[in-house]
Amino acid sequence: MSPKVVLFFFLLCLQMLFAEVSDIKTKLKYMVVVNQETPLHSVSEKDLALIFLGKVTFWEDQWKIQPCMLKESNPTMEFFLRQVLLKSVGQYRSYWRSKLYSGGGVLPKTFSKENQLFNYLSQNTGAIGVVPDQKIPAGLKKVDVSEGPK
Amino acid sequence: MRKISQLFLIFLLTTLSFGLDLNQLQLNGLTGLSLSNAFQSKKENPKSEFSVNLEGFDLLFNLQLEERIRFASNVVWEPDTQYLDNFGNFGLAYVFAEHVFADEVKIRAGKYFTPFGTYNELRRAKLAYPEMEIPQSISSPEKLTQEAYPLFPFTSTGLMFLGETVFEYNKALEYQLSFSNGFSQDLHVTDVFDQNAFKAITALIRFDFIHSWKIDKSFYIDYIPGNKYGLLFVDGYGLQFRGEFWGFQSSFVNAILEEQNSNIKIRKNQKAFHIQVSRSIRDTYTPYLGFEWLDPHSRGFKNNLLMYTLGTQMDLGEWYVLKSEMVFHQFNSKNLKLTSETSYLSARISILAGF
Repeated sequence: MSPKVVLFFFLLCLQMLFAEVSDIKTKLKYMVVVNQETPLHSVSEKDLALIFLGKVTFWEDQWKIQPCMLKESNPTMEFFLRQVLLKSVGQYRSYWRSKLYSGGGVLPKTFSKENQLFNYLSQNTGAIGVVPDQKIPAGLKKVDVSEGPK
Repeated sequence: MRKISQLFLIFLLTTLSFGLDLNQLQLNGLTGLSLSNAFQSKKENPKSEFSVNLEGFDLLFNLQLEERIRFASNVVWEPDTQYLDNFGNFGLAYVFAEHVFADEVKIRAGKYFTPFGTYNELRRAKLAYPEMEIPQSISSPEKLTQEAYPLFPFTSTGLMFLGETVFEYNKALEYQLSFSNGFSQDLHVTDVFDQNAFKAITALIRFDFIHSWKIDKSFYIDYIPGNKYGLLFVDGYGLQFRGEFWGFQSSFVNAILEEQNSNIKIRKNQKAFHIQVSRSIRDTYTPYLGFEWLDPHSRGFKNNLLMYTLGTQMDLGEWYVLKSEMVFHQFNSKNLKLTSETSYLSARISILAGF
């Protein structure tokens, strides 16, 4: 190998070792919202994580869960992914790309605007949405989220 | 099995044309463009081979026919005659129906990626891993050295039982068990001219045991018809770590193929090993280092291959990725397939876009 290749290799290794770390330190409030007809009043963070990773797809083996959220680039969603799913946006995308292109499942629905997400939730019993904490429209209800050991 | 694939495609087009609820249909896709160059360093006559390649187009259909039945298909178009099926430029990477009894028990019927090891199911998921390609020493060793044989077909047609049991967050057990068609008489032709018989068994068990660590164990058993080959048994192990910044993946495969060679039955033992370390920087830039080793016939003469990989992946957006990679191939001089030299360097840049 030429000296230039060796030098490039060496610099790359240095960069890998001393890379800067970005982290979200601000705590943002998110809330979990479902259709009024969905018989769900509380959910644990662990179950939320499993739902948004596509590992749990049925409520008590009875009806299909349809997870949805705002785009991951939204700061509250970024916080939700780190806090609940223990994944960065990049890791979350990579996880779902693997699952999708291998035929393992479909992505949670994402919306760029909150009213689109609320509209989807109001039309779909079984859908569960994550949005920044706010007042919710009629026909929807807020679900209590219990923190738990992960 | 080609007929089954065609039937599934007709079924898909029919259901779509009869106006099924489009809310239950999710369409995704992937395409890319790559530039590559191979450098061969003959002292008298240095040579470089430059090429521009279209990665092809993947179009994925996911149709939720009813709550517990999903229909999935990945239609592939490649500029050259593609390798997955014999439909000219078009092929079906997978096309299956899946019934979910529970998250722990699902049944899949149709054509799917053979559930072997960490990588095979990701062979069309180029946005999901930093490398340009999944490790060739395991996925297509026969393309690297003359003596090597393929370890399993990329895709299988048959029945698969699969599921995942979650014990707690990041502690789960996943399994896949497939009964499928397997290889045809000619090992290098996959499922196009097979006997439509369930004769291959593949199993994969994957365990998330500590936070971000996974181990997997898989095997593939196939009885290859005809006089030339007999039983093929492939045993594989994998270990993965995906931390917040560091990533690590490693696989080891050991295979035994019975071969009839002028009234003498020999057992060809092939081994392959792969390791890759990556580091995510600011969640968008991922440099990585990889190493692969392939010994196509460890009981025969020394003819192994080493590959050293250095590359980066940069996320340009939600569905855009730029990859660059250099691979140094080092062959034993007795076994050359890709080049007349014992070593060469290849470089590649690729841009991928999905939706």
